[in-house]
Amino acid sequence: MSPAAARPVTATVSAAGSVTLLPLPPGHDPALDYARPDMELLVWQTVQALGGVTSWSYSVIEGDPPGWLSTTYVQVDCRAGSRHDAAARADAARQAICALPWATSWPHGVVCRVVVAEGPFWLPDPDGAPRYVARYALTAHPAA
Amino acid sequence: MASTFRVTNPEAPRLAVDPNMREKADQVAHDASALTPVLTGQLAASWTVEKSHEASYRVSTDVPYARYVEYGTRFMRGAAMMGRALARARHE
Repeated sequence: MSPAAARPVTATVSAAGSVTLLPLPPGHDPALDYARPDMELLVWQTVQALGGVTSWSYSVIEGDPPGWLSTTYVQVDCRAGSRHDAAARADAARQAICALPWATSWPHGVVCRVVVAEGPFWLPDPDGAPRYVARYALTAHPAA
Repeated sequence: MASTFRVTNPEAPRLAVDPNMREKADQVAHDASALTPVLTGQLAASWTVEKSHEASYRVSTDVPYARYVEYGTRFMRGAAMMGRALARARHE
């Protein structure tokens, strides 16, 4: 077993809270084993104060150069009692997320670029509850 | 020294990249199909590629509930099969 393969990097957490560390898979590039900024958490911390908002990440793509830049795709759902309020909430979320590259108080990394991949667009839930959906691509690198 | 160029076919740049765009569209459709959750298989089998015009393709499905599988609802998380396929295609 190579030294890289012996390094535990993947952690799974059980319901009881115990952590199991797994070895690197064969052929894994150690250069890609770096602590990426948690963009999903940053987006959630940015929008949670708006209320009625949920956010989740659906894809993370290694950037160029690899081992430094990564792009995280995040979906943000904004709900409210009326379509008008949901739209206003979605617009506030968009403004807050698009301002992240200029935020300087984040210790875990630097947000280089934010692109609105989709929306915000009107997509009510199946039961008719008002919702606006938007997707963002956030490119970031770890703190130097 | 000045040069003069005459454009004989304004569509030439689009014609040149059309095969690559077709290949990319096929890849997106294939990835979206592979990433689609399967219960009956109807949605996974429904992804189609249509040519809009030169170097422009549309990957779509006509299954009515596809939007809820893609984006989720307040009762279930979305699968984001098209979002993930597009993210992969954008960075390749």
